[in-house]
Amino acid sequence: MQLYQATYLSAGCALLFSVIILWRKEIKAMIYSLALQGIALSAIGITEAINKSNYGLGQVGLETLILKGFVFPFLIFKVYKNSSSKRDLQPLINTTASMVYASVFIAISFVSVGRLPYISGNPVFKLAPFGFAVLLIGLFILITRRQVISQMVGLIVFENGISLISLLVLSQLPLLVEFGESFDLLLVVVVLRVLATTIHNEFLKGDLAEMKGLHD
Amino acid sequence: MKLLLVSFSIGCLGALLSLVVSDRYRITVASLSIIAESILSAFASLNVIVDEKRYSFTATQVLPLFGIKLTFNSVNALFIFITSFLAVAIGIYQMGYGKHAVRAKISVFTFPIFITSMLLIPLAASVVTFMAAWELMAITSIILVLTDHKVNNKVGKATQWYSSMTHLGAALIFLGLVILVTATGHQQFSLIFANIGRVGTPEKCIAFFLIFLGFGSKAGIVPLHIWLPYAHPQAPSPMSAMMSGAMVNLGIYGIIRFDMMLLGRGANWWWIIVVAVGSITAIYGSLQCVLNSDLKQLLAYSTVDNVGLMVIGVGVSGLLISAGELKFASLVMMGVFFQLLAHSIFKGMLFLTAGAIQYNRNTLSIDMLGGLLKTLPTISICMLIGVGSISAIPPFSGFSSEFVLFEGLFQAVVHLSGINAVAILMGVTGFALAGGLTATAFIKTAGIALLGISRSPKNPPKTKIPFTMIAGTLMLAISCVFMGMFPNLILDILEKSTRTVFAKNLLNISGSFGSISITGMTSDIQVLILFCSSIIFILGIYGISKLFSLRKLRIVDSWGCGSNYSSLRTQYTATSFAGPLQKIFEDIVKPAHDIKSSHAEESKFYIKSVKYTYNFQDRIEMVIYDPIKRLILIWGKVTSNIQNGSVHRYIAFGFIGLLAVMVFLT
Amino acid sequence: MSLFGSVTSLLQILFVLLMAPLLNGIMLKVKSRAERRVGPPILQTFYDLRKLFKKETLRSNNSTFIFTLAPLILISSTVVVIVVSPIITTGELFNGSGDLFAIVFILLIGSMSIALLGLDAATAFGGMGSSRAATITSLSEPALLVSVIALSVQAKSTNLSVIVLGNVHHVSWLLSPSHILAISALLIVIFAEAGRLPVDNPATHLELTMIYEAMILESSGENLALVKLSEFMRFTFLLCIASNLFFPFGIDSTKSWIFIGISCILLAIKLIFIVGLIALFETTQAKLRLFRVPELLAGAFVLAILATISGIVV
Repeated sequence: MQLYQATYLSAGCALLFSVIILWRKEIKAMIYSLALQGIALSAIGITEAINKSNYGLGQVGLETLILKGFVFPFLIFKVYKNSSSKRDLQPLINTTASMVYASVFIAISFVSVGRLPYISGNPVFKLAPFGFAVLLIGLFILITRRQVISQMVGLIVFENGISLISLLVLSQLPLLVEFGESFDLLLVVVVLRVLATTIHNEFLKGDLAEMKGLHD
Repeated sequence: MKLLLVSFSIGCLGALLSLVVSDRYRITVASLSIIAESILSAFASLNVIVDEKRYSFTATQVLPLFGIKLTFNSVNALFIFITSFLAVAIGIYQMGYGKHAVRAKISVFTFPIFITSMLLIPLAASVVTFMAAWELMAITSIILVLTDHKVNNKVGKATQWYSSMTHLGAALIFLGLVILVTATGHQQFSLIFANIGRVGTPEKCIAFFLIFLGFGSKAGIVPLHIWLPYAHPQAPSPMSAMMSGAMVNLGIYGIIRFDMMLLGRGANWWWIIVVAVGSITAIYGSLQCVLNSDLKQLLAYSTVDNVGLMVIGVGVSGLLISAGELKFASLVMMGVFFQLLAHSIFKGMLFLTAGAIQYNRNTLSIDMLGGLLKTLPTISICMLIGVGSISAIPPFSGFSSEFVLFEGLFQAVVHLSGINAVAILMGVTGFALAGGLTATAFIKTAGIALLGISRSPKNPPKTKIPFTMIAGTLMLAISCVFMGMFPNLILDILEKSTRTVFAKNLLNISGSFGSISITGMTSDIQVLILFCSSIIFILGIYGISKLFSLRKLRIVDSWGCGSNYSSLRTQYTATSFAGPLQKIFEDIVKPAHDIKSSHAEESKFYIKSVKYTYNFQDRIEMVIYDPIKRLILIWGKVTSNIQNGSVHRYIAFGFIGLLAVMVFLT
Repeated sequence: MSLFGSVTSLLQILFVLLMAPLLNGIMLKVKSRAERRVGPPILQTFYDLRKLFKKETLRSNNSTFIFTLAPLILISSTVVVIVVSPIITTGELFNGSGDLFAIVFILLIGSMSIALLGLDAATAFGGMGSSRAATITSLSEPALLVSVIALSVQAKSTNLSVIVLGNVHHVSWLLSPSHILAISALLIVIFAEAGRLPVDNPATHLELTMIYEAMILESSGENLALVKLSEFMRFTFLLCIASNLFFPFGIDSTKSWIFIGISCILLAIKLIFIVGLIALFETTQAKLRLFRVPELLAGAFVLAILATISGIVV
């Protein structure tokens, strides 16, 4: 029973960190929160693994810890070091409004996901709304932030949401899929890094909102 | 079953290997893997048909959540057999053809995978497996159509048509299957069939027509045939032979497998519509085929025509099932299977001969060809055999198959009454009109391309046709003759498959060696004996006429009405050969002519030169598709305002969508 | 393969082989008399054929083996059709092979080979003839196939012997509307297939109006003789079938030698009568324009469909 509570706690932390990411403007703080969120995610995996004595889930947890807790934040941090801007100053929607929206998203996900047919019986399934909330916030960060680095952070938050849902709902995320997904993400981060550097060199600041001439 | 899986892995392995090896051996490696794969799978499928075995195979690991489910019985084994038999010959042919003509690395790599996917589709036993294999086939075939995109600017348009129609078809099929899955709650075909009673009648109707249209677009029913004359000519010949000979069959397979076997006994008006569509397809296809003068396009239209015949057969069979006449339904079904087999082989062969002609003469326009019988004797004789088969004259395969089909239609006319009989009469009408037009189309093709003298003023340098190309074509030609002369052997095999479709033993193949005789048919055609006796007659008459005649023979110029003769410009061309028919059917096809004459400077009564242009387009494309295209363009302009290039906006669309779904769920 | 079967098959071939030129001679004679000319002797066609066999054969330097093979295929396909069909007896050699559908397609072999012959020598007229003949074939073929169905509906069989026997035993079938419509469709198709007057004029010597003659313009000597002979044989064969379908009385169904003799004589009389009628009909007709021919054949097609429908409904 205590282990379940640990899982609950970790899921709550994951959601909390995503809200913090949305709230803070300093990119450094965002990256730290992202790392912490990754660790919380891996904690869920590991506690669930112990709880169900599921070996594969433990592997997933460890892998999450390494990739999302350390590798991704480190990679983003390197980009951050190279860029001139230390803060994401002008989001498309200001921070206060963002917080209000975030609470609306959390409410929506709790109300709607609770009604899904899957979410009944297993107490762990009750955590699925956390995953959806994280996912929505990640998307929201992607939409509202201008800096390439914040985009990357948003993407990873989004990804974390998906991982959270699959960890909780399926509780046996196939290792192959998890690896594939992580690899995918790694690729995206690398590509975005290159993009960020290029954009930075071209425009001297990584503001995506100014790039409207690229559409076909 | 294991043999089949081994053969699939050989195909994929060969494909991968062909990427690795050097340019010189690439085609050989790919072709050898195709040959090995298809010989093994042909052997395996023949074994299954003859022994009437049933295997199933499940692999849960390969696809997440659903896994792969395959079954192997004597119905799908027939389709696998046809595909793999054709693929053996095409593999042999490709060894010679590809060395010079297929340059794109990716196509060489894709071709074995395309064949593997076609072998996989009939095996699929669940919706997810089926759709996965179907999409694999769609994607690989699009790549194959794109092969020559650097050399030929028509490829782009062909690919656009092909990919849009193919995805439309896949979407329709998927929708139809999803309706069945949601209504029964299962995604495995056997379970859907067991619970088919749970599907309400309106859902059944919608599913029936969605599936019919979806598979019909792959098979090429009018008006969804539009991609065939674009895509088949643009792919390299081995690939277009495979597409026209085998891929089209899978459309018919889908209609039989899902509409007939899965949905069970349906309402008769479903099948009446199928028969009507089939006969329109047959007539329209053969009419376009007669009027066309591009060799491969003509063959593609003739595929449309043959598909029409098969769809008529399937429709009549369904009509007989819904009327409870199972015996004759299975007779018609057997005719359809025979037609399918015969068509695959002769059409595959005709595409191969077209490829050889293109290889040698560098053109596909029949108006430019002529006299090939003298320069390419073997290929030309193969083509004549193909022409005989497709025009359904004995002793070639087309006759045997159309005979069984026609007998089936006749029995249907006799044993049904009222509206059903009239519907079948409609099918017979399509069958008859298409038959006459097809014969004319292929008299034209063979007569203009093979006989006379070359119509092109300058002859391109003659390239020698590699031996393997001739061998592959010859293999198919021999099997055309074999199937025509020993139809009882083929019917024995087909009877087993038909029995599985109806789950009952309804027909008996009686009769002696080399004859067509089935219980329920009224005649017993002894093709072999008739053929042998006609050979004796030919020899005898030749001998007698030699006895009587003076044995004097003088070689002269062709007669030019008393003036000096220039054959090159006065010969009939393919376009002029079809002239009378084009005039007769002018109201239907509406070709565009234009005559421009320039006058001499001295007087307008002296004409210096006359230029005649003639443009002939698929009427259905103009009438149905052009307005749709225009609408889509307008829609595209409207929607382009929504996408202004802002990344944030694009992500926001997804976000709003997700949010809307979630709100909708609450 | 009984002795009876073999002998009657040979008899059928001989019968058609002899009757074909004779009937042509009779037609020419009747036509001439109707036009108040004396006309050639009745046996003139035999003399013409003999003359052609004796003449030297010219062969175009553009032609291929099709040039020799096509006439042989044409005549042997005609012979095969004669062997399998009930002409003087319903107990023929290849019992069961005499299927109407098969007969239609065996006849098509001949039409196709002769159309290829037209294209072989690379001449303009040959191509023109082939093109026109193929056009007519493509339109008469459907009418023929549908009338096959119409004729077979009552007997519930496409086997020609069964149909003829059925007609002998059920006189009421002969006068049913279905049968009469089907026979009239068949007659129109026979006129088109055999290249007779409203469709094609066999006596024409103007290249531009020729259809059949244009195709064989390059043939000469023995080749021409074979083509001509098989043309007459095909026409005679089609008339035999038509008369056996419409008025089958007298055809042997007992397999006795005496009846076969009687059947031969009766059939000969019937054929001469029909041919006389056709000759008279042809003297009153002019050749149709090529583009009016489809209308005629479409008419035949509609008649055949009506025949089938009335056969199903009644």
